Amino acid sequence: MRLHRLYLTNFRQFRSGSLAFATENERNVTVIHGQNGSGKTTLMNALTWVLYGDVDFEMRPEKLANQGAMVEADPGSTVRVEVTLEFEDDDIDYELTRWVEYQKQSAKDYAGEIVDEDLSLSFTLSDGTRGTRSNPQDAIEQILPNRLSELFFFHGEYIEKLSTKRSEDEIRQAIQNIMGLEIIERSITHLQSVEDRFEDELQQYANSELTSLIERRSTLKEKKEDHQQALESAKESRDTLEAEIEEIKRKLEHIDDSSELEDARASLEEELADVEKQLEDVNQKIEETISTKGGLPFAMPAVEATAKDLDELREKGVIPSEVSNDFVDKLLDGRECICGRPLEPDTEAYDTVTSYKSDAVVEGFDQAAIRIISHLTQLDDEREAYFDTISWLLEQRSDLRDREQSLAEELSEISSQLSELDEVDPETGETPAELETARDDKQNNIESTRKDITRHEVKIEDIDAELEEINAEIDEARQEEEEAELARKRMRATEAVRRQLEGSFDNLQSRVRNWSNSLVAETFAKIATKDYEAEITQEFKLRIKDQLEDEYLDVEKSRGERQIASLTFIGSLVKIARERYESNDDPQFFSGGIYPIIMDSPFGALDDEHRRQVSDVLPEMAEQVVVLVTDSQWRGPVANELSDLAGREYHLEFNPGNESGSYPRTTIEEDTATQEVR
Amino acid sequence: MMSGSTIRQYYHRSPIYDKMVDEWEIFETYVDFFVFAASVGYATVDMTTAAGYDSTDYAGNGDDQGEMLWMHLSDKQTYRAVAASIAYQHTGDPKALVDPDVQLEVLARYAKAGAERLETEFGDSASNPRDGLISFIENEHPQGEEAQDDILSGIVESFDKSMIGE
Repeated sequence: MRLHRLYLTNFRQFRSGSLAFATENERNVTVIHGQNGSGKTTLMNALTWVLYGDVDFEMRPEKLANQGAMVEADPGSTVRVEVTLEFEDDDIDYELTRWVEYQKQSAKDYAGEIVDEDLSLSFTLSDGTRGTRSNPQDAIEQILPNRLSELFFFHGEYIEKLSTKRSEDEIRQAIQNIMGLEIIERSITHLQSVEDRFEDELQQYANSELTSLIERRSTLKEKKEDHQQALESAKESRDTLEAEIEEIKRKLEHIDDSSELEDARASLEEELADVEKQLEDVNQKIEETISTKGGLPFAMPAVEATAKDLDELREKGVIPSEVSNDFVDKLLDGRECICGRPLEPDTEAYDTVTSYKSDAVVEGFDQAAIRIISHLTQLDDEREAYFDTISWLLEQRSDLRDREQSLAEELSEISSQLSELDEVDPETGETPAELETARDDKQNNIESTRKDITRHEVKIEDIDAELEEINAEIDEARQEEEEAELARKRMRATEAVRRQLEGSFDNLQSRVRNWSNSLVAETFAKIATKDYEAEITQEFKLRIKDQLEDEYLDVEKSRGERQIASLTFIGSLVKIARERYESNDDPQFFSGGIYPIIMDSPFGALDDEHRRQVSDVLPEMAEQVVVLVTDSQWRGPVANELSDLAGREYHLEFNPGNESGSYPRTTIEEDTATQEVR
Repeated sequence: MMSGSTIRQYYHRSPIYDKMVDEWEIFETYVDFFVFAASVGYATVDMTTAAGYDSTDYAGNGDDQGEMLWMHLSDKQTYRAVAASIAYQHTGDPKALVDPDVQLEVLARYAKAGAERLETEFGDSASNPRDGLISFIENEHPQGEEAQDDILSGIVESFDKSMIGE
């Protein structure tokens, strides 16, 4: 799609006017600049209105008719609002016109009521054949789907949104849009509802035990969902609070009065973290000692008693066992035991001593005895080592806790000192005391949020364990139900299809992300002046890396670079759409196309250097680029960079009107320099 | 006798096992806690009067049943000496000194008694009872004759002379 010309009649403050878009390959940028409120956003809305009938005005969105025209009209007569867009797509010239007629109801009615409206799309083929499309809105949807217009017609705020820390949802959504993946997403949602229907059916056929199990599972799933939502929300709050605390720290570091204290705090906090780590290590060592040696103080008496018994047996000659039989024979022959009791044949004492003779000393007894005796000293040492080690570790821990306490007091003292600094910093307009109070509040909030996060995580874990048990019970109960079995099979089949679709969805999404990532990296490398590289991560996060330091930059430190990378990201989507269009591969979900980019105020609050870099990016972004900027943004580096690349340049001249018969009106004036070049 | 790799014994795995090993991570393995609990049981519980002494409760049941493999216990010399000594002291039978089946069974009996004691002490603890365990060991271990180093050295020396020939 290539835009040629736009005509406006009675559209908001544009009584009449037209502009032509730059179409040359080398000078592909159309620049439209004007002061704030002169009608840049209205022009963007004229485009979305003619294409889709949509407008996005903050003020009086229902009133499209020009105020002057409405005032001048007689009651009962009509005012026609019309926008025409001439464009070319796939070698066919189109003329798209949308109009609406407002009837003035009374002398004081300046808004009017719609009495008639229409949309027409005429075309001229390359051989000169002319015609009209019978269903113009469908035809437009084929040429430039509405979902893509949101991607390619955008306001600077969208770029800022993409540049923020948590823009992954926006980036993921943009990637889904470019490939038309919402069709799969809708199918997945639909299949989930089908699964739920089969589950209802299952419940209907199932016996009461199964019904109650399924009800319990549903309740648990709902609970889990509640906790998951609360968890996400708590994580988001935590991230926001962390970013806010970082921002406060940064401010305190930059204020003369507090910078020294803030530096001292950073160093104490670092030491505190180190002490806490050491405490953790000591506790771990204590646990290792208990685990490996803690039982010995209890078991040692048994070992010692056994050693004494064995020593007694050794003294009696029972062990070593090879001499024991001779020894027993001697006792039996002598008719007297070593304890002095008589050993008369056929008495219990005689039989007992006789039994020692053969197998009494069982196989391996000598070795077992030696093993115990040889480890006796070592075991005794280990028992003592247990007490010595624990005592030493407890001493170390006590020292570390003292240091921890002292660091906490020093930190508290710094916080008190900061709370007393009440001179307003001219740059931030805040006092260190105010910043410190805000920091304390946020720190308290973050601690309670962290507890919430843990609480929800534990709950989710518990519910998962319970769900696993219930699922097992449900599977068991289901086997007895024939009808339920059928529903179960259907449900599983649906589930299998859904999972497959989810797999394809993830796969496609990931492919496009990779594709976009390499295009972003390539374009960014050409433009960025510093040694930075841009990346769209696997988590769909936009990140800027310092190649020299080999580390990712904070959002705060790379605002300009992130905005540039965001623009290159949108540019990458335009390129992907074009490559899809020119490719011979099976289009699957999206056949692609060639699209222009129209952006309103893309420079935001950037400094001059970053504005210059953004200006470098713009012509690269698409075949045709339309930039709407304020006069103040246009001056300086932007004008220097873009003037030579601007095929068309317009200025919006706004006349606010006065109370004596003239009304707000904007005229579109073409810059003479670009006219001369052409 | 079965080979070392196949000797095993069911034991009563009460909830304190999961807490001490998985939740609080004080004991590295279930084997470590099993031997610790058996040692505590041996030193602090009179098994002849302990509840369930005559039954097979020590082997656990259903969800409360664990299985202890000899091969996991026997690879530590300390645990082998402790197992043999407790089994021998419990049975008074020299055979217990060399029979891993008997040793595991006796340990399982004392481990049940010891785990019950530890459950009473620490089962309701809301957080890691590391320090409580240190005090428990300090206060509850048998305090008898501490200065036995000479006697033990004498035994070792005598054995060295008569059995190893040194």
